[in-house]
Amino acid sequence: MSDEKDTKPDVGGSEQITIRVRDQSGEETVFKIKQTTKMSKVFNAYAQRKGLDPKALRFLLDGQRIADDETPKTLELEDEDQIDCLLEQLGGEC
Amino acid sequence: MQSFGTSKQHPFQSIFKSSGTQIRKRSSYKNKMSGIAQGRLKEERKNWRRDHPFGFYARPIQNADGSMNLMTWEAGIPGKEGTDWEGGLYKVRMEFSDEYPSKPPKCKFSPPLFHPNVYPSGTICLSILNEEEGWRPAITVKQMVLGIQDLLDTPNKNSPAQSEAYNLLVQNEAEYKRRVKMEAQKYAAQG
Repeated sequence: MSDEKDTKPDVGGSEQITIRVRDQSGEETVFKIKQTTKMSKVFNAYAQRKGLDPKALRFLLDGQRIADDETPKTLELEDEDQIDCLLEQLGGEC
Repeated sequence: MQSFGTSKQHPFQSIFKSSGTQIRKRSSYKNKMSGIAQGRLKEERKNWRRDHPFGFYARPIQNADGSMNLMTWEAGIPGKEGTDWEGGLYKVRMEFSDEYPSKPPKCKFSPPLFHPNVYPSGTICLSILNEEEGWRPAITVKQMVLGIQDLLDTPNKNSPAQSEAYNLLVQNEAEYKRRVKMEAQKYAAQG
């Protein structure tokens, strides 16, 4: 009965998930990453693709900023989850 | 004849059995109801994670033990671009009952918001969130938060819920707009 549980999916032990980064215009960029990949890698790749400085961007999950050293595992991300990318801004400085 | 009799007893017994389960079902009717609410909310959360409007968030709160409380959600609603509300992120608490989705959740700005159609308690007065008016069980969390965002800049003067914002809106619209911009700054989205 429990024999079935022993067979892992054939992905070499580290399961990949797809995450979708959505920006202000609604445009989506899809990344396939490992559960253990640091989010900073995604942020840098995204910024590079958009021709932006990663420091000028912030990424939110459930309204909260995602730190660079988080991973899909620590964030409990699921396949096809959406994260939001906002431009860095500072209010009240005018 | 005898074999006939016994074979007739079988369907009879099965009727008894099924009526027995029916009674059991009825006694756990309330549980079933909340099961429907929980199931739907699980689905809503799943859909939200996969697809939600930009800049919004909506998630069930956590119990003290770290587990998810699907019946109460916290949402963040950004002010629409190009309106006086732009730049603010307004927090809403959504309380679902066991009768959801037959009945809408109670939605409250927390803290209460300066807006003509928001009660001093923070409770939002909006047709689509009112059981006797526009609520339909098919309305999703996404539609609710988008509806609330839309309400921000389209107050209904014919149905005021708080006097402060209402009086200012009808007496001095310029001052009202100034106050709204102050609210937007007060609740400025933080990075």
